[in-house]
Amino acid sequence: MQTERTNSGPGDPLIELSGVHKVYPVAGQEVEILRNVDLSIEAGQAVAIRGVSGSGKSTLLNLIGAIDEVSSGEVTVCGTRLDQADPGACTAFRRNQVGFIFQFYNLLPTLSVFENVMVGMEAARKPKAAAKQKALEYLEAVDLADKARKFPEQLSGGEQQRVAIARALAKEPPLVLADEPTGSLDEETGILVLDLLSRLQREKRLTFLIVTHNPDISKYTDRTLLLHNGNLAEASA
Amino acid sequence: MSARLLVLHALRSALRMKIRLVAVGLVAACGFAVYVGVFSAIDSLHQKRADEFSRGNIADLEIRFAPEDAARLPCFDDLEGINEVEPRLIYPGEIRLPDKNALASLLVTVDREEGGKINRLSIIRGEGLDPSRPERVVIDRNLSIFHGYDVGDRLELTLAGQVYEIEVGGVGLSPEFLIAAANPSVFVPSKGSLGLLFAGSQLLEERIGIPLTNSLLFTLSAASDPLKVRRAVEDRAATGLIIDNSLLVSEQFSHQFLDLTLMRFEIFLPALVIVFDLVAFLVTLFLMFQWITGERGSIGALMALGYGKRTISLVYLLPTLFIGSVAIVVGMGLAGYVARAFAFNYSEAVGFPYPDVELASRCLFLGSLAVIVVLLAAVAWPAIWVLRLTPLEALRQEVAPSAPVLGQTIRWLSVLPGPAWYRYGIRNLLRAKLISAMTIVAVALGMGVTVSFFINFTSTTASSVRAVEKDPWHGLVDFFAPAGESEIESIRDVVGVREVVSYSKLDANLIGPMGTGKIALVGLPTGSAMRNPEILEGRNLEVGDERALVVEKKLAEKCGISTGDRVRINRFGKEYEASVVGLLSGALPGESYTSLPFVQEILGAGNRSSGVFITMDGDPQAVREKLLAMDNVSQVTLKSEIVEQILDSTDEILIIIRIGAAFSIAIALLFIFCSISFTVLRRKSEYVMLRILGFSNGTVVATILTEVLFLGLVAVVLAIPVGYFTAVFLNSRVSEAWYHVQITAETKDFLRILLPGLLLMPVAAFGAVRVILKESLEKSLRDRHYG
Repeated sequence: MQTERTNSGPGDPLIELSGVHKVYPVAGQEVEILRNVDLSIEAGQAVAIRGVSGSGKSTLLNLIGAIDEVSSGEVTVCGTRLDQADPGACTAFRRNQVGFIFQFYNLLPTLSVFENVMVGMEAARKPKAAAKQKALEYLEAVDLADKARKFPEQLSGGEQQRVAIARALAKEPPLVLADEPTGSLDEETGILVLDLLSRLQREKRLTFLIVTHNPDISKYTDRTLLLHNGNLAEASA
Repeated sequence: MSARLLVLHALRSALRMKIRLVAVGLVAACGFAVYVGVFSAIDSLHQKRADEFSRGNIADLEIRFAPEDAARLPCFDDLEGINEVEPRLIYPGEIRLPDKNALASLLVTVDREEGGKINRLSIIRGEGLDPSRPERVVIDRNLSIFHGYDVGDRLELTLAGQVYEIEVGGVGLSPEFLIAAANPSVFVPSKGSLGLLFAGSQLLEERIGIPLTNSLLFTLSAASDPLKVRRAVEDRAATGLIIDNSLLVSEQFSHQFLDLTLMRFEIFLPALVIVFDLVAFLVTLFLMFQWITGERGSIGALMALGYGKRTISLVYLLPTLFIGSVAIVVGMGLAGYVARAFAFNYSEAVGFPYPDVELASRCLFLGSLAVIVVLLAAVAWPAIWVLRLTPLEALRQEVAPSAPVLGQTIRWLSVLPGPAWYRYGIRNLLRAKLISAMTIVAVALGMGVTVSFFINFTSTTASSVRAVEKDPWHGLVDFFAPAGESEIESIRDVVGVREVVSYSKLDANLIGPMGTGKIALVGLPTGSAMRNPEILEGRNLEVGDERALVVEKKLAEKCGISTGDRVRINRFGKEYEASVVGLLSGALPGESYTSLPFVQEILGAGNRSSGVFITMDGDPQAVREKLLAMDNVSQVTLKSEIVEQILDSTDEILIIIRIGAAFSIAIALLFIFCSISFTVLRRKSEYVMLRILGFSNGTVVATILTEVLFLGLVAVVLAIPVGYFTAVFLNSRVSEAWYHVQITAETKDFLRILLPGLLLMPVAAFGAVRVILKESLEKSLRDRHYG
């Protein structure tokens, strides 16, 4: 399948969803998770999506990250029409355009901290020397340079999530998607992680989409959206 | 795309389950070792024969005839296709052993001019023959091995009543007697029961006065047709000699015995290899599936990072290739051991010289290919699973729904009395019913196939012994020259001999509609019950059957003969008609029976006989001594010795089967180890929860052992019919290829495998027990691994 690609410049929408529906079969019945969602996010914005459990936040994030497919509607991210993209194009999209941060970190337990950061760049085919430099730079940024040789199981939850952040950011993708990045952390560590994410987003001028049920997230983002029963709405200031 | 870190991750991840990897590698290595080892050993034994034949310039053709003056032999030099001709004398006799017992012997003289250029002796110790010292002989290696004679020893040899004091000048090996027959009438190797000696023709000439000969050896040109040359030689020989038989090299006892006995292994070995491959396949499938499903989170992360599914699948195949490569290397070491154990034990069993054992490159290639194909086939399913996984499915790490309870069965088991751990263990097996069933089937197959080897072995041995024992005769007496009625009467007069029945034998060609085959025809009085071959079709000889034949089944198949057919017997150009009344099963290729007068007619020997069957009521050894003292008696073979010989050689071959059994038990244990590791570790969280709830380590161990022993018990029970019916199948294959093997299963055939297998099964639970007991409760809770 052909994928339509457009170039996006400053001020142009990096993410554009139009009339997006997502339906899952549950116990033999179709349940609509997202209903006619329209969304536009400009490059360089930090946007939070809030909602209760089961509201469809992660589903929306997965659609934007080419991890899941829409049932209907259009999804254009970084100039790629994901609703028309074949699996190969989706893989290439994830490789080059997006950095993921997961609730449970999803680090590779057999690779060291340094290697875990490198692996994202290896997938994105970054030159090795440059990748090493970036890995060290981002490990410094997340304050884990001294633990580069450690393995994930030797780190605390907060440290593991900081490694995941470094992995997502080191390949310097135009878009970073974070799914409940503080969901597995205690409150204090969660705040530290959000501070870090916010700082890096500003420094690197990244487009950030973060899914959370944390009501304090608004302090860290330019926009906050609310997802309720599959409907997306702008949160009041 | 560079995937160095991905590869690194996959290899490191695989190494985390190193004990299970070792188990898979060992299973594959065992299968490889048995296949490569045994087939290489068989190749080595065949190669040894070929090497000895080549080194010793084996005769392509031999004719034996009534002793004749060497000077009066017909000339064969002008016959087309003949390279060399060499006369010799073969003389049966007896050696007086140091314990005063008599040992049947065969003295082979070699040409006094040339020193023997055909069937050349290889001198192992001492010296070859010296024409100037006729009393110095070379003895066969088996005479040295089994009776302790060595260079410089003196021995007393009796030939036709004449006693010769001779000295052992050397110990040698003749290509002709790589395996010597105990008696031409029975298909049993002699090992130590026949003393072979080689001497210059001068030894006997001094006593006899003329250079006698009764055997001519021929080597043929490569381009010649051996059958045509044989016919020409027989025709020429018939002009001046009373021919006894002619033998092509392929009809030699050692040639046929090696081929037929090794063929038995070639028949049942594939069954073992198939089971080993199946087990390797299942173990790998279990392990890889367990591993890759456990890697789901990492796979999801890799997909999210932008690695393609194909790249991820291929990278996860790498550890399998690694295991395969290690298995091949380890298997080569094991194969070397198996090959040597097989080749040396076989050689020991039949008295064959030890071969130089080398692993055959063909077997190495096929074995390596099989290991890689089997392992890759096993990992294909998990790899396909990865390929079908969407990134979302991989990331979600959905917990598989718990297996449905097995309704009636579980309810039935729940009412069984017993502690909770016991019922929990049994129910766990039912929860993983597919894996439990596969484990039971694989272990039952592994043990069952080995049980079948023991049954097959017991069956073939029992069939061989029964074939001899069911006949009423106690001894076979062979004459130097066909004996008349008065000589046979004198045997009847020997104290201890009760009954005497004459027989005559000859070798000829049987001509049927589909072809010609060599027939070893024995003529007996038709009313006699001395020899009762196993009749497979038709009937045995009856009174009044003058020109009736009972033909060995394989020969009949070769010639396209069935019961009721008219056939022709061709001996040295003369043809005789006969009708086939039955087909028999016999170990001796071409063994067939007819009436004594018919054989006497073919031999043209009047009413003379080549030997007699005797029954005895005295001491067999004493009777034999008296018989051997008679002028015309060349050999006396006791039935008890034949039986002893069969059992003796089978004892050694049993060692080979025990090696296969050890591998089978090891593989069964490895399989249980892998399957229990697979199922128990999948429920690690539950066991941790049991421990959190206060279950003792002992209770946890008891639960796991319950699972292992239940699986083992069911597998053992299933292995009994599997073993029995596989043996029935293997026996039928051996019966098709050789002689009819009746199923004979003894309790020990089952216990040899099933008992040690069952007793060792708790060892297979060791890995799972170790992991569960070492698991930190705190860490498990922290990692949310609780059930």
